[in-house]
Amino acid sequence: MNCQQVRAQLAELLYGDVAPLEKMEAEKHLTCCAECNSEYRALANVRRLLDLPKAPASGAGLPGVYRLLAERQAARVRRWRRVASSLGGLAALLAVFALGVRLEARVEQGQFVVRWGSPPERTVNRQDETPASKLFKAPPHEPVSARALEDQLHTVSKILHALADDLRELERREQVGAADVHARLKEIQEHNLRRFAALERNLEALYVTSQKGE
Amino acid sequence: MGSHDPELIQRWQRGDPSAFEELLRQWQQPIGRFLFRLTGKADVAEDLCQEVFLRVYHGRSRYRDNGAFANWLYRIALNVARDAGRRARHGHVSLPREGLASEAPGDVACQRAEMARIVAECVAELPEPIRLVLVLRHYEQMSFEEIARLTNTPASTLKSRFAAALERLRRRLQERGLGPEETGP
Repeated sequence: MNCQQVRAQLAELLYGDVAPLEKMEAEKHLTCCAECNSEYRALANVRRLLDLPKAPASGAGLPGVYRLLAERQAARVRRWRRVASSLGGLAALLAVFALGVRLEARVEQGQFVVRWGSPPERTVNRQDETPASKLFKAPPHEPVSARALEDQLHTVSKILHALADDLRELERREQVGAADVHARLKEIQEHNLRRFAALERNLEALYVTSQKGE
Repeated sequence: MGSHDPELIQRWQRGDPSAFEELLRQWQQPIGRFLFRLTGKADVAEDLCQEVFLRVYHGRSRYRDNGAFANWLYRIALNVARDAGRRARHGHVSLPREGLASEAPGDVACQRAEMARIVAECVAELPEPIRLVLVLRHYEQMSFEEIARLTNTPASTLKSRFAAALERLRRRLQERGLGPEETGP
């Protein structure tokens, strides 16, 4: 093995990630090459130093996780509520707009027509009427009647109500979830309080015993 | 990576809260330590650890029990740490540049604590991809094959990154007065 090959493997050699045969050859090289040996010792020093910082004994903590869970669920409920009220408002606005301006939308002679306000008067020029057109006169195309418009609005309203019901159901489920988490959190708190009270009692008992001993 | 209890995992997947609590008790310390090594800050690591177990809580239906719970958990921790890193990128805290040599000599314990602080800072300064390999190989004592599975990166790339991490650390520690000559055998 030459210097280049050994240096490429120094880190692996240090952590025992090299095959036995390669390890033997590398070690043989290190005994006779001062420069590679110095590199190896420098890396070994890094490895030793890496063990100096001790990680603190802290983790997530059960109450902390449940608290975070409750906060997130409450935030989600608030978000859903905002979405539901925005949708409701939008639906109401659309309904008022549609009723107020007598909005009409339909396909007429291959074109999509949106019309609002009163429908225009149909004027028929009698001179344009031929005998054939008199015979085969197509029935006049009536605009959507007020009744039909009401029916359409009613359908839209039903869809929006169904959507709102869905949102309410989602919100209810979120609330149930949040309540469960709160209950669990309370249970943990009570358990901790009981443990603390028992600890206090034990300490008191120890203190009394030590006083008697003196 | 640590072993896991299949029965506990099954109970957790069925929605048993006590199983989740048991898993949290078993894993909060290793994951907390791992996050501390990655971030270099104890308070940040604690918050991130909570976030990890929150994701575990929500992700029980997504976990497929194939005996790789630890792998799954570490991957979540890694994602959480990466997300936090992205959020904090603009708020980078500059680290002190002076080395040990310029400071007044204290007692041995103080000196060791100071050395530990400098090492932790130097590790935290490493770019994320090479720091991750260093933490997983050195502190978590995972093999390169395990790290490869966890990070979806070829083992050969990981080995190069690991060597680069040690080399960078060596130079940085030397700059800050922690070379082999200063710290002794």
